[in-house]
Amino acid sequence: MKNLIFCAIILAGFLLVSCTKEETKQTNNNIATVANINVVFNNTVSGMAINTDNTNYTNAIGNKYTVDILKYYVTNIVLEKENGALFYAKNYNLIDLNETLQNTISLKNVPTGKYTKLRFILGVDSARNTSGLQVGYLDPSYGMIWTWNTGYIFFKHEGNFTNSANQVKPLRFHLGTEAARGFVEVWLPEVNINGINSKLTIDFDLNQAYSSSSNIDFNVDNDRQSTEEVDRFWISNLKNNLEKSFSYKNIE
Amino acid sequence: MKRKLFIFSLLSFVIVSFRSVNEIQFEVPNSFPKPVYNFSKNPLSENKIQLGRALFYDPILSRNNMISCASCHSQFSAFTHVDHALSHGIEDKSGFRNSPALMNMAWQKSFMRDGAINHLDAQSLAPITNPVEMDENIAHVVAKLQISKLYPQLFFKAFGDSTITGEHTLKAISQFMLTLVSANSKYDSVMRKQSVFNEQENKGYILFKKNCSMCHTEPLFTNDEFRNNGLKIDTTLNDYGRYRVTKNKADSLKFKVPTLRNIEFSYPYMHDGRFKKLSQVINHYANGIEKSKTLANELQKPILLTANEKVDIIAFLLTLSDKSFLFNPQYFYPKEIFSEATKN
Repeated sequence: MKNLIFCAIILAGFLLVSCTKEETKQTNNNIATVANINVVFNNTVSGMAINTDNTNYTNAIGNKYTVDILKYYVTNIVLEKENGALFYAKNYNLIDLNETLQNTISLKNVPTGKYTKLRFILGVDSARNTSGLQVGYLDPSYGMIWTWNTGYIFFKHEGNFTNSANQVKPLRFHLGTEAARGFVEVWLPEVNINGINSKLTIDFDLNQAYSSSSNIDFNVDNDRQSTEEVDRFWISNLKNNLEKSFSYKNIE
Repeated sequence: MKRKLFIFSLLSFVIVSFRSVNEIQFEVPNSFPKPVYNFSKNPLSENKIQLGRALFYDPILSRNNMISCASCHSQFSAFTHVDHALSHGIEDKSGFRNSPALMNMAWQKSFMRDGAINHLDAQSLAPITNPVEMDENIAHVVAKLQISKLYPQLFFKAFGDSTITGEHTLKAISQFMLTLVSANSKYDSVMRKQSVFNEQENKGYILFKKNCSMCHTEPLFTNDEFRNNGLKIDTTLNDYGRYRVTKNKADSLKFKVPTLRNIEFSYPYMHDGRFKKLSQVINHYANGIEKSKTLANELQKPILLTANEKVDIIAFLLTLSDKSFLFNPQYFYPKEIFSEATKN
């Protein structure tokens, strides 16, 4: 019985593959109407690549800090054309400074044309944030689920910082909960997706996360990983900052 | 297009027939409501349940491989921890609450004394990660399971994939917990008209329905909600219950209403295990209610009970003991699974 099922699956798989091949041929006969594109998230501090080797970085208000862990969810990517047409990529990605392969998101069959906006959710949408375990990069093994509360951690930065008394203290920011979901909109200068180029790079600036809208002083906040009332202000500050920390770099 | 449809129907037939071979239908006891748990997202199968059972009893889930779920959730006590008021975890570190008894999990909307976690599948992450419980992380658990002799084959049998994921690990543990259904106490047989209460139990039942069942609602003996039941705050623990999660003052001192099924065996009682005996619990409700802003509406009026009536209520509560649950061999330590591993 099991063998029979196995054969049937193989057969069905084979038939499916042959179908898709035919379709690709057809589109090749015309001018390419869709293209595959990789969106690469480039993690920086003020434009410079981030090292996890205890290098000190300085934020806008002069806090010195390091980065050991930097992870955040980029989900529900939408590309918008100048005429308003939208391309929805139903994907869930975990950008991780220490796992560079994860920072390239491949979008398949994107209609060709000029795009003016890239939008995504910084975090996990409500449906998946509150309905138990999910798969792929939302798997609990990625360490991004609260273990004493409901839902996912959307953004995580851990390292240390040097406080105003010149002592090295741990820096631990875990941002999550329904109020913390960020909606990011990156302006694109009429990026032409044409099937020739294949890589769209988006910069993330960690310093902006602590200063783009309002300054976050590590001397005041250096360990936040909860949903407490006292954290509400910090949550909204960091969320608002994060939404403005992404920018277009180039397409090649 | 037609061909695609044909293939699709062929594929779905294959999937459906494959699933029906392995799936187990969750049995809802006659008097019980519809379960809260969505089984369609984690369909039960014998192999998954057995995998979950092995994981439940395996200390591999803890940092030092010495503490298992069963360490604080033993079957003979309705899957709680009877030795201590506050449960002990790794290296005998003390937690700040009494571990809850595990049963009838499929009907619960939230988990933990404060309802911090809204889904059974994510629940096990909490004790695995807590530094005074198992002090592990799920990624490391997955790595340990993957290099073990036993688990890659158990996961293959259960999920058709020997590559272990956190999702599969936790869903398997859920499956075992979902099978912990207690619905076969004397109370249940009386309700099914297969037996009768004695006079004292019957008096106790009437008093229970009058004074207790608003929160400890039949047939699950909990309304699955949060209440401040008038316990004086322990000033060393300073545990404000659900407030810890919601930070809403209206939730201060509220805890999840626990089931009373198998209460004879799940001592000590209350979120901090402050009462060792049922008589102390009844005395608390009769004489010990501490008034505060968030005290449950149900407890605003005093519950007046004579000494005899207190004993009657306890006699009724003892009819909620379910021996077929407490000694069900399907929940035992899975010796046969673990000995198979040492043989290989």
